[in-house]
Amino acid sequence: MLFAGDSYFYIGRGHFEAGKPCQDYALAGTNGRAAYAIVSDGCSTGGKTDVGARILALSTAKTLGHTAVRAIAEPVTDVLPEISVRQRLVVTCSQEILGLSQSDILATCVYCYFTPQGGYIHLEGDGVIALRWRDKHIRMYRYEWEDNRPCYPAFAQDHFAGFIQEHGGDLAAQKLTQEIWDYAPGDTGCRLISETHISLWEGIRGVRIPIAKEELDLLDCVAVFTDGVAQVEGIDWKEAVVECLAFKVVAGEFVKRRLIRFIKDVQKKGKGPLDDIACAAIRMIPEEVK
Amino acid sequence: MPKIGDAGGQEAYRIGGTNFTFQGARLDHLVATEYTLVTIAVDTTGSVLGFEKDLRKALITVVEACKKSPRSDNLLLRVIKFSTGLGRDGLEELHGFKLLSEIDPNSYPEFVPDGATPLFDAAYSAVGAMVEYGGELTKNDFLANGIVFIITDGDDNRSRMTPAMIREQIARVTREEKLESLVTVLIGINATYFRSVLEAFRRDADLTQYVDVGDATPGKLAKMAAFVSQSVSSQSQAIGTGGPSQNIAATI
Repeated sequence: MLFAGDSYFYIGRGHFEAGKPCQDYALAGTNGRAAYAIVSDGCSTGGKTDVGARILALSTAKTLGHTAVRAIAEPVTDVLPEISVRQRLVVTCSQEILGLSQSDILATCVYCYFTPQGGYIHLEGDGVIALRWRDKHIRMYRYEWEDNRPCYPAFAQDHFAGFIQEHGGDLAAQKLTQEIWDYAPGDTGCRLISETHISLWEGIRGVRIPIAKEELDLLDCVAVFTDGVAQVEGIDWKEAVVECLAFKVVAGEFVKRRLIRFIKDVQKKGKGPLDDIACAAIRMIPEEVK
Repeated sequence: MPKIGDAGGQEAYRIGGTNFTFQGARLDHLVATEYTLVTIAVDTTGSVLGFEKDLRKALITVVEACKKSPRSDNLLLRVIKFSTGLGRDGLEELHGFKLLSEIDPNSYPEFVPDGATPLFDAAYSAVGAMVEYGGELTKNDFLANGIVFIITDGDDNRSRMTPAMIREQIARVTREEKLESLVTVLIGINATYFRSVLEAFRRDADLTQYVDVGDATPGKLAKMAAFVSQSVSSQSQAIGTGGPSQNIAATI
């Protein structure tokens, strides 16, 4: 199994008109045998979260790069604790060096990481995850926090005490909603598979979707999005995801080409993305195709 | 669009409703998000005898300059020669739309001046291929614009196509959203005598502009090469703006 990755991010109408920077960031990388795709969404009411989103995404990429060699030989789940520790170390050091406050690094982090042995998708905060199989059917996961107050990884600095307080202090309270939808080519609309309410405690731990080697072999593409994909005027978020994955040519900058065209098309019909939007994707390429 | 073959990194296409064919880079070999298509059509009829070496040198200079452009990875260049001395259609494609990194202009063959001038056919092929291939790029999510240079020293005297047919191809660019924008430049060299005829051709075919280089001296040809490469660069920088470059010089 080989991989190809690409990413794109675009400023939403709200930030553009307000003279604010794009606070979403995306990147993808591969060395052919291991691949990652990361999106990060800076908090609109935070500080310099455009910087924070980039630091978080880049530190995650750096961390994944460190563990890539080992992860190719070992199940990726064995290196997860190391990834988490390294990620926080790099963020903390960067924050210190650049003199950033906690409000500057309030950003979500959704990433996926694959080796030929399998991989996983990890979500801290909110966003959308999409898996497309070789038969072109798509499964979409959407995660939304109550009152649009996501759990940012930066909250770990005070052991989430402030965040828990903001959400009422009850760790068992259901604060994170997970929707799972399926789309099959030819169908009209998508089918709701489940809607699950997740406790504050579980939400703080983050969502992890493991992908076993057997499943990976059947996958065509995995994409992660910031919640901006669900805020495009005039288009349902699931339809937006399906459109964003409708790659025409998969060489090189396949995500950028598709999203640039998608955004142009939606802007012809309305205001386009109201919020910043970011997408990063990995394509799975069977070696015989290569 | 009709595709009629595949040879390595290039695919063969036909301009719809005609026998004109051209080559273009396979789309799955293109990694960027946006491309400027460039076509240079060069007159190699008998009347260029005496300055054919300088003409070829100018062409090589253009390609070398484009290779040094910061936008070189986003350019796809097609070069054709035209003269009734060249094959069935009076056209010969030195290469189809190709990435500059894959072009060695020093391997361009020496020009052998011969035959009459199928200027309209050359212009039709240049514009039509750009419209067809640009449409293919656009359909596949690439952002594309284009610029065509038709370099001639005389009037048409042996074409099947007409200025109206060229005008129709140009109209398809916007009507069918084939390209974001297209600039078409007719360049007259040693063609002062034909100036009014070439101006009329520009008008009838709805080409963007006519530029008279003057005499075919090495200095003038070098200036023409600089004009072409600067215009390519300018049109390439205009991609994404929704319109053609406003910075292409009106004269050389």
